[in-house]
Amino acid sequence: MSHKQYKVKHIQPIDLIQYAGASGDFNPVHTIPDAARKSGHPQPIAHGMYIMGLVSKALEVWYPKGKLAKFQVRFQSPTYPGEELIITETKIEKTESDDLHGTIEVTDAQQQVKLRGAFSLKGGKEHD
Amino acid sequence: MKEEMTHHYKPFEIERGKIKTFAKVLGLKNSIYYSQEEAQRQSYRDVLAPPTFPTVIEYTNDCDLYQFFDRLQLHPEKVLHGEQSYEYYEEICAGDTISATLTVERIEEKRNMTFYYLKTMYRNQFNELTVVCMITLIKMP
Repeated sequence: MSHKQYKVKHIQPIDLIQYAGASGDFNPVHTIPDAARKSGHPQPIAHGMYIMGLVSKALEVWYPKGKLAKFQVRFQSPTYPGEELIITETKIEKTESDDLHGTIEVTDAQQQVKLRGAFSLKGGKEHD
Repeated sequence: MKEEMTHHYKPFEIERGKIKTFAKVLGLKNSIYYSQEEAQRQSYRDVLAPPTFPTVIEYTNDCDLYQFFDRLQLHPEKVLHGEQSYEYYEEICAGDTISATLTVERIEEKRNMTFYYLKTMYRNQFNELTVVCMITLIKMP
């Protein structure tokens, strides 16, 4: 089975500001360069939940009518503005009831792993 | 369960505009996040909250997650987000009022770091379980 892939445009500082506004998570480490540096980051660090949200976008592209039953991620390394993210479906299997269980990986262009995760979709057959 | 290990979010009314903004920032395109008409055509009460929307309930709340951090004496800049998972039961739609309760499932010390395993149950106005969320937070030394 071919590996589905979804590329996210380079993350910009404004994306993190917009995500802060939309989610309500205004932790300055995500938006204010000085606050990020004080916490030992070269620049503001992307909200983990922003990256998980981008994975949900990839799932929408791959399975437009899929209904998520489970969605899990483990954050492996931070994402900073300027990085390009590549979301790859690393495994997919179908159960007898046509549910889909898959695993995903998010890396940057240098193959550094940002997160690994898994998902289950209900009734995959009609959407595959 | 000790009371200081539980956090009650304020009952949170899900607004259509909030869903739309959140979906747009993530680049989601499905019209069920934007159009009440389309959502209802697909038999939902109203526009649907996207998969990671519960995070809005945690942060855009009069009793937000950072207030719980304070009670645990966690400083946000010393805390890493290790894991996040959702199990989905009933849909969350605009117009719903969601009550969420967070409990600390367990706390583990590993290699100078403290791991907090948090579980949040989200219920709607019909007292139906909508989402169960697990979060692992890592407190750095």
